[in-house]
Amino acid sequence: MTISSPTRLEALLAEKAGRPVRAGEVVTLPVDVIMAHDATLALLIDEFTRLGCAVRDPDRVMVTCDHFAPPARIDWADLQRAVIDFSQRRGLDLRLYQGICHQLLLEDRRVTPGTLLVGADSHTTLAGAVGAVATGLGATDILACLATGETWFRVPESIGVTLTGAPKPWVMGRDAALYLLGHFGEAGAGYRALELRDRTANGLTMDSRAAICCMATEMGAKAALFVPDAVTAAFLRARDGAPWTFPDEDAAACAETLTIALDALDSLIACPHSPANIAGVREVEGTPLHQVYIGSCAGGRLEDFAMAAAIVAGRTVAPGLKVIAVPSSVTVMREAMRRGYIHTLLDAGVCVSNPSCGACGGIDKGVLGSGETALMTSTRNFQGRLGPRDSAVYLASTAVCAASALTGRITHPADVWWEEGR
Amino acid sequence: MSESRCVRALVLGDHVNTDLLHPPRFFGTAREAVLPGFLGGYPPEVAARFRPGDLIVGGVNFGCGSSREAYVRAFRYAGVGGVIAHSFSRIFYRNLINAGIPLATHPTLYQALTPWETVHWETDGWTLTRCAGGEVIALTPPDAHLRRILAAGGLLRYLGLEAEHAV
Ligand code: SF4
Repeated sequence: MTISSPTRLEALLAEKAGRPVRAGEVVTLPVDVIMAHDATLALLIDEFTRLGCAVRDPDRVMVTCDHFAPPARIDWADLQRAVIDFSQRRGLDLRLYQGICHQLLLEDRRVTPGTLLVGADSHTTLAGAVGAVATGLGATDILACLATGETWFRVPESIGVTLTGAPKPWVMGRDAALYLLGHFGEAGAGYRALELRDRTANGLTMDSRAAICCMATEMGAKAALFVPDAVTAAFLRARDGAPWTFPDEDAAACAETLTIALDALDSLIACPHSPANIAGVREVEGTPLHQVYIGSCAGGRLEDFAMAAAIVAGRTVAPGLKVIAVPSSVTVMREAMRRGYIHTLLDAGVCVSNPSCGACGGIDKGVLGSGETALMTSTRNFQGRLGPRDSAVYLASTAVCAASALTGRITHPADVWWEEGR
Repeated sequence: MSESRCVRALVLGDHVNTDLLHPPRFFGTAREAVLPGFLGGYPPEVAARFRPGDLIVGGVNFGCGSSREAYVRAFRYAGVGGVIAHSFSRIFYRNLINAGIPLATHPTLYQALTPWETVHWETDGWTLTRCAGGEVIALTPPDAHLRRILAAGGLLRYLGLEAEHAV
């Protein structure tokens, strides 16, 4: 390995550009997949129509209705109507209430290792779980992308992250993400990309990888991708068998590298009001809660429902505590039902809602009232996102959320589950 | 320095996120829906004091968070004259430039200015003048590619998708 060998990001973007590219240069590239959702597409429809633009390649586009799903306000219903009509008129792939945009991309045949994907949403980095180069853009950039099929990128520097060891049974991908947030802070990976290699004992699940790549956005990263491996291959085979290739893994060189030993990791938590304000769960345990939320693109997948169901099975949630669980897609919900997880959660007193962004976005269901404190698996806990300035949000893994749902206070999962030798 | 060219600078701190700048519950497209959310994560006095043309000056990672451009609309409706920060979150950075809202970076300006200090910003010379005392501060402009988008008045005009200025 020499200092001049390209990073994987450089190699992938060079392939798209048809010439060598280096970190720092600005390149205009055709994109493979474009995603927009109801809360971002709504902003550009009038402009798009007024400018007389056409969608250059409708087959590359996915439109989701997930943020207002279904709408709780008349003006949002109006915006969503415009999105539905626009998508149907232009022959776009419209996913109405099928789940959260990023989860639907992860489940989509067009998204494979090396796919260049842009989405009108900051957490588009999630698709890096399958090795896609995926990044979020604003509505105006997406408008231009829809019309021209391309956009400009500054080729990012890469940070190499290697995950090793075998995690404790209650430690999830989300904990690795929180660890990285503690390491980088809210801006430490700014404008750069994470290239993650899974060297753990048993291989992280695709669900855990998705949680990590999703949260990379909160570190400022432009993209985050797992180098495809046996887990990726098995996932794609089971999904749809879509064909894929990826540049040679051994040739890559990152200027900065980092290793996370999962053996040494315990459950972490992000305290108000920053996703990078990281503490150990033990440091804040006992904090009283008014709401627990399991869902969002960072924590509403099948492995989250499996974990939540395992923890609450045969028990009931704390009296007076609002406990809400929202699957990240219809596919996830269907499988969670088939396996009995949803039933278990309902029996425990959890409110299970339809696949959507739900309480994550502060737009739809599950907002907070004055002085309320919530613990959530979702992406952000910025002041004012979910409720008034005096409300507060903690972020943690589904294991921590489910354990805390039983007690009504922030609770370490080991205290409610493993003590009984489950 | 003629007083009439001076505007005020709202000085904010590090990691100012989009939910503070414009909370999600004010999401929308119409002016009546969007403008009340401008700076809605701060105490109401802040937005009340802001006048069209005033600048926003911030610290590290300004504008981190959501990609929802409702905040760009809020900035336009409120008449934000420009944003100068230590550094910007990448989506926010693109969004402001795409909208033709001037921005520049300076590592310590947000620590140097007093709250609501009056300043004058020369965006073609990329300097800021403190109206009291006349100190001239050099700013770092966006790189050449982005300056071209900014000079065109935003991305849509830069790409020729839009010929005339949008109202
Ligand atoms: S689940 Fe939350 S973070 Fe993810 S796309 Fe929806 S609102 Fe955004």
